[in-house]
Amino acid sequence: MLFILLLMGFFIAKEFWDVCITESRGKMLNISGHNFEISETNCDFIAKEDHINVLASKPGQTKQTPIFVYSPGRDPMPVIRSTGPHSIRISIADISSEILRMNNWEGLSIEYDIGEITYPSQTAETAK
Amino acid sequence: MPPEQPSPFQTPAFNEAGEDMLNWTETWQRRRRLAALAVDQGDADGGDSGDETFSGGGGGNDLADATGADDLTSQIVVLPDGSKVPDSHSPTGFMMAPVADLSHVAAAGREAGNIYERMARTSLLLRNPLGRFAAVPYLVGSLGVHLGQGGTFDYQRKGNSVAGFARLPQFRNVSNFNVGLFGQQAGLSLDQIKFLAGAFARFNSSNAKPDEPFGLDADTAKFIEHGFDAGRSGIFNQPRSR
Repeated sequence: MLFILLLMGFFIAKEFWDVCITESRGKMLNISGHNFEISETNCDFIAKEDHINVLASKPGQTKQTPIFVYSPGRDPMPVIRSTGPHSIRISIADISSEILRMNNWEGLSIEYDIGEITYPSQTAETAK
Repeated sequence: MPPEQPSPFQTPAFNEAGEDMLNWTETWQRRRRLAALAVDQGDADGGDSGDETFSGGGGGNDLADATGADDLTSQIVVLPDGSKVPDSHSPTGFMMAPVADLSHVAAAGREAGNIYERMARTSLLLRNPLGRFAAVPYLVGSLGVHLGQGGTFDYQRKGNSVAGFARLPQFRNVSNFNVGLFGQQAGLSLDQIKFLAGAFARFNSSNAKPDEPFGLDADTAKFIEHGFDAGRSGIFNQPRSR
């Protein structure tokens, strides 16, 4: 019964409450031929969680793909720099934990320079 | 030696469209500096460690501007036994909250647990299964009212569902701590608390971590555990025996 009540509550919450707030933190255009946007998602139902999303898109396209998602540490924002015509490097001093890390996306090679990961995960979703 | 030529591939980290992000980063960093400075001043003034307070309200209140919040007073949480909760992400090194004393969180948890217990016991005495039926949603509802979005002890969101919520991310960890403390004092087990806390994350968020126990971020789970352990230690008075 508890499970049914929870499901009902979650359905109502999902449909009618905006429990996740996503705010854009900035856009970077034309880095190695791609556009990037960094956003922060904060979800709050019972547990409270923060995630930073690095989204990539091709010029002229609106569809964005998350290439790097993490729970922030002390340093909230990554820096994205071009390292070649088809490669970028995402740098950040520290993060709490990784959720998604893509190493390649649509012909773009993505390197990471992460100083410290408080909770390293062996099973963080990666894409070669 | 000729001056270093810029790489043909070098792109400024922040272009025109990225100025907002730069400003936001500066705001974040300024907030941390303000916090550290205020705590340093509190120490220099000989203030008691439990009274370390700072406000981001000076100098134009950048954070208030960013969040729409008007009360940014933060204090280091001091548990009833005088200890503090380490928080590596806090500018002070310790978990921060709008209030230093979380006894009211524990008291509310005990009250919710007591009411749940009475409802359940009454239904048993009266052989009325509907009483039990009502007790469970009461407890779940109480968790939502106190710990859910904008709830009494959800310090990281300020506002309401009509006018909208302002985020106070510096209070995220204490809000998760409150989840563990409130739930423990209400008589829930740690697994039950984590299940409830993580269930929605699994159900709703595309960022939920299915590989992690209960789908919770490590940081989130850690502070829920800290809150639970603090409650279990007895420093907030003993919870009801169930």
